[in-house]
Amino acid sequence: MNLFEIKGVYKCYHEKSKSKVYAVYNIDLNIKKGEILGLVGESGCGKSTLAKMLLKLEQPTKGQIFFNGQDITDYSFSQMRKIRNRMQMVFQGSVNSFNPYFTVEQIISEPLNNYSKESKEEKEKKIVSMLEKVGLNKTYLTRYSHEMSGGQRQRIGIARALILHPEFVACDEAVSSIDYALKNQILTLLTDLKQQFGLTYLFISHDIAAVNKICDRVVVMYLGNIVEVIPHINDNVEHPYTKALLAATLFPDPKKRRKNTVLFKEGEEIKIPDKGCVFQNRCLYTQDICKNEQPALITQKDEHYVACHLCHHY
Amino acid sequence: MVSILNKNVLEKLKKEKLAMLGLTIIMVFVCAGIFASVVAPNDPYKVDLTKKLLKPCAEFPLGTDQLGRCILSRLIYGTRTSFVTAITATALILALGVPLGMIAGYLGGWIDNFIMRLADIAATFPSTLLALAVVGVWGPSIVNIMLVFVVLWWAPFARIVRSTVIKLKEKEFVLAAVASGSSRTSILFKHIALNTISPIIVLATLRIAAVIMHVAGFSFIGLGAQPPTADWGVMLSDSRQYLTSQPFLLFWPGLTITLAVLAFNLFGEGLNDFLIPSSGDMAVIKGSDGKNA
Amino acid sequence: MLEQPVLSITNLKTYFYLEKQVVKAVDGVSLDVYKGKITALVGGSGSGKSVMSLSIFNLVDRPGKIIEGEIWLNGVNLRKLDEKQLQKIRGKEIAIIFQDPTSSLNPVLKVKKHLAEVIHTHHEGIGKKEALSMFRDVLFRVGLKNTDQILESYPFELSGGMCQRVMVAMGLLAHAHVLIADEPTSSLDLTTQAAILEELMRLKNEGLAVVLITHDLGVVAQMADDVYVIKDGKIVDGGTVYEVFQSPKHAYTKSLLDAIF
Repeated sequence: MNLFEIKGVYKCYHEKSKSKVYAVYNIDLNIKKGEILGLVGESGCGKSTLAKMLLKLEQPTKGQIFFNGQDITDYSFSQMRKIRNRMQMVFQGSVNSFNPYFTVEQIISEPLNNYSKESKEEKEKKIVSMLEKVGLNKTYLTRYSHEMSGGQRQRIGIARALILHPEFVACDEAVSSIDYALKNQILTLLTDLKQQFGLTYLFISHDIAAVNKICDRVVVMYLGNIVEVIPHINDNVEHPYTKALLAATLFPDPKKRRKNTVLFKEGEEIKIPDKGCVFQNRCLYTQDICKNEQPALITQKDEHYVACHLCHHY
Repeated sequence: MVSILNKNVLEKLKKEKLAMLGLTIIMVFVCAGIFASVVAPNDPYKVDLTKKLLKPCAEFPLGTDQLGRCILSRLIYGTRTSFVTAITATALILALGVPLGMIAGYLGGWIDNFIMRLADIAATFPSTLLALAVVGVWGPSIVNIMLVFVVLWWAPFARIVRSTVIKLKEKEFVLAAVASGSSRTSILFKHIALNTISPIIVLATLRIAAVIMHVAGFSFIGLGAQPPTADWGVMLSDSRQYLTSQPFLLFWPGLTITLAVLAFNLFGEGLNDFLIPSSGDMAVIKGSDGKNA
Repeated sequence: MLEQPVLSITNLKTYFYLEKQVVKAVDGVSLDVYKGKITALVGGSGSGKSVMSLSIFNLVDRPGKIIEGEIWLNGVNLRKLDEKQLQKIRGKEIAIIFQDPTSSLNPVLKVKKHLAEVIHTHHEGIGKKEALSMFRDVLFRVGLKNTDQILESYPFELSGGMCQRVMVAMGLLAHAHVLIADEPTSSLDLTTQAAILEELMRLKNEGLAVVLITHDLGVVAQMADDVYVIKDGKIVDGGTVYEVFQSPKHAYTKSLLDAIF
């Protein structure tokens, strides 16, 4: 069963001017109920924009978004308010994710106050219980975001997202600004909570190791397009961009040193081409067809889709 | 980069002391104004030509002016007009500028354009010209001058509020509030307004200082308060002819205006640090790479 | 015969004298950097690694102060030089690139002017034509192919990766023997990072000594020859990269390595 269905979604900025730019281009994607879907790509690939569109924090320029079978594409602010408790987002955990004037208690009780009709005591019990679940305690209730470390903020962000027991959580670079030791802890926390509450995740990251660790499937994006969908990012990847990404991933083991980490054309300006494949300017294997026709996302094997002319085995 | 730590800590201390100094001076003025009848040694309006242009003495601590009136008492009573005018004017400027700026920033579109064009007109309109026009039609008075400033000076506030709101709209915590299911009004007040206030309070404090000075200026050229009102600008105006012969007549009101303006400026600048939640001084030593655990 | 290190730091101590406490940012650090090798300095935030690189250049301001230690560069004790002499050395014999390349460059100067400044400071008396040809060479060396376009660009017109390459070019132009790279790729994308690191590798093979300061163990494993682990201002572990990864001596190093999945 699909929790989310994304059909032909585009997001365009400065539509009417010459410098219009597509942050997201013709995305078709389904998010299955109960899965952890990884979304990988570098800056400017549109992954954050896509996540925000799912929650209608950004409005798609074209296309449709279905949540639990309902078409929410044109839902108004108030219509969305009725279902926001079922979909939440964890942001990067920087100080910007929280109102600098709010205490932790205010931060976590905001979503609760919007949807719960319980008494004040019951709400407080819920908040303390959630804090404990994320490895903190009630002494944090009176703290401000700038008084906490990055790792603690990250956990508050998770607590805020989960307090309403949503069905879906989009984690946008949720472990990016934390060092290794803590990263592991947070990832374990996320998977534990998923089991406990029966959640579906969209896990956005540029950290391939983290994605491989917890995701069931991975979507790779480049400049607004999906280039590959694969269960795990390993040597089975076929798209030249995913290969370049994998080659550039440095494993923390000196015995696993690679000779070729740069599998793309260097020093080129990163620009969205007017027609053809989106990766044509940096790809090492560009042919004429790549410059003229956009490759479709086609199944290679079960659950493995690639958008590349040279990879399609006809 | 490493020296930021040093500067921040020092400046905080400095500003705290100066801000407190500014606040103290303001409080002195306010008390003098409120309790003028008790504090002033004499009646500011009592004319006695036999006692004109006296040097400071027991009866007249700062001497008398050309009509035998006590200078100190006039300064003390003048506090009332200056402060009341300045604070009222600033309050009206905020009442007009802040909501307009917020609406423009939050809603955008044609409303934003409309309000900003109004602000452009207000900001570029020459104040002296408008003051002359107003005075020409409704006569010179301190209230009329005050209204001139309200009509012209709401614009910079609206602009600043608008750009702060636009920046805030994109901040993650505002998106998070939307995702949390909060209503538009709740977002506007709790998240956006709250974070716009601190720069506004600072600017408002500085604006009070500017109003004091400009009102005194207009009174000086005869467009504001009129003699025999005990107003600092009027006192300056009255004493123009005595610039070379009795300079102290200009000195005392000039000093008082300067002191009042300085006090508000010091306080306003210092307020900046108090209101914005700080990110901590140890940030510089701990992690220059911006990452922390 | 054992080769002499091109940069040698002995017992460096940089303390910060704050109002209520003394922060020992660098507390007795000793390390050696050799020509043609990449020496990594690994530590988390707050470990003192960045303060160390600033200390080498004597760019630590009050309330920080270098209270002890020796810094030998090519046989010269930097601690005994005055500011004027140090200025000649900074950028010429030892260069540094920082984490955020776009903010390290002056936004109102074209790349051409940035490079010209290096020449002006360190090689006076070079004609315009000769200088331009030197610029083109050095830009090409760092992987920027459309040299004329880059020379006429402003920093904001270039991507993060390109800016970082310009920074390296500036160091090369001055014929630096040692390049200190302080988190040079943390703010860059994975693919751009790969390109910059490969560049540093190429330069190292040409004889440059590189000090790579980072918290990323992946970068260390891929690039480093020698590794020093720094925690709370002290070196707690060191050795070749294989030694440190396979048989870490200190508990902190072990915990860093354990956390990797």
